[in-house]
Amino acid sequence: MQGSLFQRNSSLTLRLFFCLVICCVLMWVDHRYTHLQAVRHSIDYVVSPLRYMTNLPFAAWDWTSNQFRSHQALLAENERLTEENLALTSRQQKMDVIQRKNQRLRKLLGTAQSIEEHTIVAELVRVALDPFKQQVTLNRGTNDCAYSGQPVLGAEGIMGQIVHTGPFTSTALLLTDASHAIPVQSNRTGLRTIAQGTGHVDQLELLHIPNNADIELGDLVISSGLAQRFPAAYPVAYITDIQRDPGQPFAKVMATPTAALDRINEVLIMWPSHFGKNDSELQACLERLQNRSASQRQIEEALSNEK
Amino acid sequence: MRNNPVAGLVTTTLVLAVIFTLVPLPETAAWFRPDIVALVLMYWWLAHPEKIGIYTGFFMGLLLDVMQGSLLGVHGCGLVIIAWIFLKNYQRIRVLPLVQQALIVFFVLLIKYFIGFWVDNHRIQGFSGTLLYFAPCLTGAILWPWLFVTLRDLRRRAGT
Repeated sequence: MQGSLFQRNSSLTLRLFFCLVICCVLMWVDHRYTHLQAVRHSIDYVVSPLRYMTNLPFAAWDWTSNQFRSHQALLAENERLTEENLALTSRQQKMDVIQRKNQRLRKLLGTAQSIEEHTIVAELVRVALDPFKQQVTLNRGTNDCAYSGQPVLGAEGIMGQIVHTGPFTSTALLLTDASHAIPVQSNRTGLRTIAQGTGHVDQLELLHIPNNADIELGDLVISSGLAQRFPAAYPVAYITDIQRDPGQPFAKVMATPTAALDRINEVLIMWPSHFGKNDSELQACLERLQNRSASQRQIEEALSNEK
Repeated sequence: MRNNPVAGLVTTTLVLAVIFTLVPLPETAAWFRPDIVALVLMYWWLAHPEKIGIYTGFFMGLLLDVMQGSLLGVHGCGLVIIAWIFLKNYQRIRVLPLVQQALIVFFVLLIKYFIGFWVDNHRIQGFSGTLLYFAPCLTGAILWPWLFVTLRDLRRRAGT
């Protein structure tokens, strides 16, 4: 490039415009359509290792602190978990009966609906994202059959949905992000509404609730499953504030998510029962996943037998 | 990379910058996190304008977009504009005192963040960005003299 200083400068502006046009097209397409998922997916091959690298010190710290935990603490935790498990199993038995009854009744009515939902556990990868968006990174990607739009649940309720998937990691948008909304209904009255994120980690706004609607502080709001994206009847939020202003067409209702969105480390990603019945690719992927875990279990059993 | 020390050094510093961008910080500190990838790129545009060009900025922009889950092209847009300003004027900026350089860095970062702000504002209803959104420009400008000196030492030691 010796002596070509000015030649270079003359084509620089051209290159700038070229890049700017590409950027604008990318933004427009990414905003309107879903074609760019493939591009994101392939760039993710570069990003995932970096994410894991950043997460490594934290994972190592977790591992060491686990290794050095006292016998006493482990025993106590074990006892607590056993008790909890007992309580949950007894409740599950009741649930099984109710579920079967429900299915029988539905069959009588002619509206068969399977309630089985498939879930796997995902862990949060501790990397930073845009501080002005409510997002988290999970350690499951398309290799674990995660898909864009998939519901993410915590132990206490719905947390959000996956928006971008890479091969090994994915990004989930939380309920409270300003660009997120979820169809919900009141558990007490069945009143249907939409819970819109506010950008604050503990606040949702319930939209379009008339001033005279039957709604009270502390009401539980559950997912209605109307948009076919989230499973129905999972807890979403508690109502924390109602302002009825007669001058306004709607009441201003705020709610707090039931799941501790800023404190959870492990989440469930879920394949709702209604989803993927017609999607053969996803079905095949899920089958592969099940085979993989089954063969893993076999290997583990063989190993423990040898011992 | 062995026969090309510049590429090796640039790649290493950029990877470190990306990792710094990924390290989780407490929420308040995260608002002030300097855009270190842009700063490192700016240094290399000044130091080796004939080797590190506008397309490096474009691809780093795409990487940042995937990392942060923003709209594809937002970071790239800002970075290519900064690249253009720096590559056009690198002979002038290079000889300025560090404080004046920091001032320039502040203004070009402001351009980049203004693009991000504008896009997010249009895309997201009820976007809650405030003046805090531009805090990284300030921390970036404050960091610039130190970063500049460090990278210059590194570059001289590597003999490029």
